[in-house]
Amino acid sequence: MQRNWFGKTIARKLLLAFFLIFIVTYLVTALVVQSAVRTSVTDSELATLSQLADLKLGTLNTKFEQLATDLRAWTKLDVMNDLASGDVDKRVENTLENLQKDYGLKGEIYAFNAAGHLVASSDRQHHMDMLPDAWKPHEKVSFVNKHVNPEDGEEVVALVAPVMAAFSTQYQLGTLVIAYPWSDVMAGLPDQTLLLYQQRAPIKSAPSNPLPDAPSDIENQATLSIMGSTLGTAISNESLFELAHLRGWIQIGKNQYLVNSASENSGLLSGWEVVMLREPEALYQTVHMVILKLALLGLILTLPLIIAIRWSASRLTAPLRQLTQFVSDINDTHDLSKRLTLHSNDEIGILATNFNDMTARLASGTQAHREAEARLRATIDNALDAVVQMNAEGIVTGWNDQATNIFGWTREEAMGHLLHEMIIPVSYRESHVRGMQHYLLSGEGPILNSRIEIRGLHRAGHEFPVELAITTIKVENEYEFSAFIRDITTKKESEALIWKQANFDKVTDLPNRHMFHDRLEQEIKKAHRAGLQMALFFIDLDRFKEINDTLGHDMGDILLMETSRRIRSCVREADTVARLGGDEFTVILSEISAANNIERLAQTILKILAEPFQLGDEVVYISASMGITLYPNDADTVEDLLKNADQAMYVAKNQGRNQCSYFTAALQDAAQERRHITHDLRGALAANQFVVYFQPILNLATGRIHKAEALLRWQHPTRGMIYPDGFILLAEETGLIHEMGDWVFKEAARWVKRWREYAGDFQVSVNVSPIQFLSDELSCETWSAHLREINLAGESMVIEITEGLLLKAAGGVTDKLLKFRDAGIQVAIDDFGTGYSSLSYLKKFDIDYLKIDKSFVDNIETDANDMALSEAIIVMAHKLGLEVIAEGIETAAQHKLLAQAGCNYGQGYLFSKPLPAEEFEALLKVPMQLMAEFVLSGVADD
Amino acid sequence: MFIFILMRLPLLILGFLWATSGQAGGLLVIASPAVPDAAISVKQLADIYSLKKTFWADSTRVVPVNREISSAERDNFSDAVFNLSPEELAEYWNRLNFQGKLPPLVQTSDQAVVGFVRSVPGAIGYVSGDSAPKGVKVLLRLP
Repeated sequence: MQRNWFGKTIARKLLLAFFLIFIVTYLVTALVVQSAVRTSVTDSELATLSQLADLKLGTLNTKFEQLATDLRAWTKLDVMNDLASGDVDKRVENTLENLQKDYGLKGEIYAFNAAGHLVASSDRQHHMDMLPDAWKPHEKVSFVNKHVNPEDGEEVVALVAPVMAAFSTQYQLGTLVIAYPWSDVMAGLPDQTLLLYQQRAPIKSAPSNPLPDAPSDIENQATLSIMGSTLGTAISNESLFELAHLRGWIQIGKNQYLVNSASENSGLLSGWEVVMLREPEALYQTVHMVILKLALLGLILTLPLIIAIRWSASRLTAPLRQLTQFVSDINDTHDLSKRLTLHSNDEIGILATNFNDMTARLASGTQAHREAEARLRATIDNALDAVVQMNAEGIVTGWNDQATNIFGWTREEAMGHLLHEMIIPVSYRESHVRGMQHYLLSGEGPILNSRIEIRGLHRAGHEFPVELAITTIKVENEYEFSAFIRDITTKKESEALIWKQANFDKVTDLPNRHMFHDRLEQEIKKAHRAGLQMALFFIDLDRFKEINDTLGHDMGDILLMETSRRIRSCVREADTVARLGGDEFTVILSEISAANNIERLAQTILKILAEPFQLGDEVVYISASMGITLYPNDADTVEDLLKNADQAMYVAKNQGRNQCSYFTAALQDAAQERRHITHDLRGALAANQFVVYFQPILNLATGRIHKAEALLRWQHPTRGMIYPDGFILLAEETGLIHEMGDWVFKEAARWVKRWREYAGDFQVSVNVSPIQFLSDELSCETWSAHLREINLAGESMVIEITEGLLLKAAGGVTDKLLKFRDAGIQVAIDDFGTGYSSLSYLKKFDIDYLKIDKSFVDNIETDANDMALSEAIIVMAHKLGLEVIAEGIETAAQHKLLAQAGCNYGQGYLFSKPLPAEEFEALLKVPMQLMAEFVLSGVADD
Repeated sequence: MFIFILMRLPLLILGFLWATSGQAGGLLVIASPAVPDAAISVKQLADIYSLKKTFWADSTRVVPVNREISSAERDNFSDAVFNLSPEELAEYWNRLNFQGKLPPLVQTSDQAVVGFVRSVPGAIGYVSGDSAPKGVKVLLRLP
């Protein structure tokens, strides 16, 4: 704490300020008072001077008026007639002497005759002969003037009166003059008084003695000299001129004088002026006294004032000092628990209270801050991520436990060292340092505030992947960096695993369908850019299913692995071999140049796959069918290429397997055809292009038409009649199968309802596509509800499903079959015998009919085995409580054999091809007898 | 009172003239040279001094000059012209004086009379002697 006497404490500032204010106020007051006193003294002095001047001028006036009156009386004396005679008898002279004596006159009296000659005087010593021009009376009136007596040079006031003859007013006997000494006039005036006079106009204008028209004439030189001697300084004419009519201050020489005057405007002394001067020293004694008193008063007042101000300022600022001391204490000791007790209810008191509150808050804030810091430290130390802090020089300033865990350096080892030398792999160090410098210079850091994955360096020297987020804060203009680092080794590994699982086949380690799609897409792009050709092989193993079923999945897997190895051995590294699933493989041959290369490679692959496989103890022979398509010749999209290759593969397979087939224009056309048909199919239902045909099913024993199979026909507007083989697959692919299935069922139901009027137990069977059957969209409830709606018994309807459906035995099949049965709808197994024909499911499911496939019926006449199978089926079915329907009976012999074997029903061209509903109805109306004959006749024919 | 005086006046004048006519040595009646008249009669002189004639022929004012009452010239003059004593004449002039008429002014010596007459236009006076003084004109000689 620095202490300085001047102005450092508020008390001293206050003291200084108050004192200054007092001094200034006092000085101003003193000046005003002094000025007022001065003005008042001046005014009163001026008034005094004026009165005095008036008085003096009055006195003079009286004196001269008296003299003039006397003089005029004297001119009237008879003796004055002697002026005409020249006073030869000295009577005038005597008279003048007597008058002077009698009147006690100070000056001399002179008498001049009419010619102006001096005739007599009271002063016998005179030497004056002639009346001076200045004294010549004018207009025969008396006047007074100051003049130098020509007789003796003395300054005089001349009172002049003409002597007029008593006998004639027109006749002037002479002139009588009193020359009154100027000194006597002046003697009656106080010091520093000037008597100014003005020349009478007539005299001034007298041509004989022209005088200047100003008080600066020669006569006034006397005045000037008198005044000069009076004032002790030389006075110029100008000064004199200024003095006239002056009131106030005048500078004469070096001195200032207060001046006032009185003037006479009429009478003898008209134009005379008394000017009173007063020296300032005398004047201002009063003023000086006042100033002195004021100064004394000021001095007397100052001392107690200083004490009072000092006391009050000190008292006023005592709480402030206390506060200051308190704040200093807190600042020195950092003890925020202290509280200031200050009993003051003014602003300082409020300040103290607020300060206490603030201190309390600060204390709690500091405590909270410490706790927060501790919490933060604990949080950071226990964080899952490594938290590493670094300053602008790159030196580690923070290192939590997790950092120790993942980098191997302890906190003690890490702190204070360069971060990049410890945890950043050598290859990244330079870019790290550069990036940091760039950031420090420009404030731009692309990796800041985002999550990035880079490599970290462990103390042991190995690198590992880390995820990193860096934030910066600017503390006191210095950057600090905080990095949150996570060891993502495991994550990376699992990601890689997931990626591999998603993209590679588990069994063969080949790219899977997903990966294949990506690769193919890339290759298409690559080929497109490079303007090169590319080939896609679609390889399907022949008879793989058999091996898998017979030798087991493990062996199947081994086969697949070996297959993949063999295929890969044939192609270049850059080519992609993928397994799409099951026994389907693909090969993408990129950047091919010549077609024969493709052919050769295809043959090589076929050949190598045809070689024996050693599976455990077994040696297995398989073959492959291969479809080949070319980019960009055949197609330019992944989907089309794959479809092309697939189709070509099927062609190869159909042509007898173990060969390759190229995608051709015909296949192209077929594909085109499919697209058109698919398109048309979508509108077919709405356009009423579907028709249901019915093929009669006869009771082989009675020949009666007992049932009918509903068969769908598409009456295409341009292609004509299309059979289900041509569109069912497409309908299944496009999902139209559901709508179509429903429609067929309802149409069949409509007709069976009608036909039951002719035959009460008539049934219609409807084929249900496995796709539809397995789909959630097929609901037995909907169909049975429809039947109820049209008031038709469930037994009127049979659904035909393929045995493959039962094989899958997927969830829901059993339930669905049960529901159909509950609804009274019967179930028939279509195409029985062509598949696996497992007997177990016949027991397992509720089946009503077996339909023996046409392929058996075809051969029963010639092939004993087929006949035996058919018989077995019939027997077995009957044993299980099922009825059997034979399909595709075309000859009477077949009819006969089956009938003999006990087959319940039959259908086929022998009896009738599928018919439109109207024709079928007509057939149904044929009398039973006739029909039976027809049928039985057929049997008989055979 | 005035009427009485006026009634007596001719008598006085006659007696006065009488008394002076016989007297020897004589007086000179002088006047300012500006006076137009070259000579005047006693009768005219008497008119002047009795303040009856106050203007000369040229209309200038007549300014008569007397001697002091105690002088022989005045005594002679009074007798010669008016045949009256100076005291009687003085009484006459006093009475006129009350009426606002100024009596002849007085000079106390012949020189003074001459000086006055010479310097005052229209002035007329009398001095003793036979020879005429300078600067004045003699209008009449009185015995």
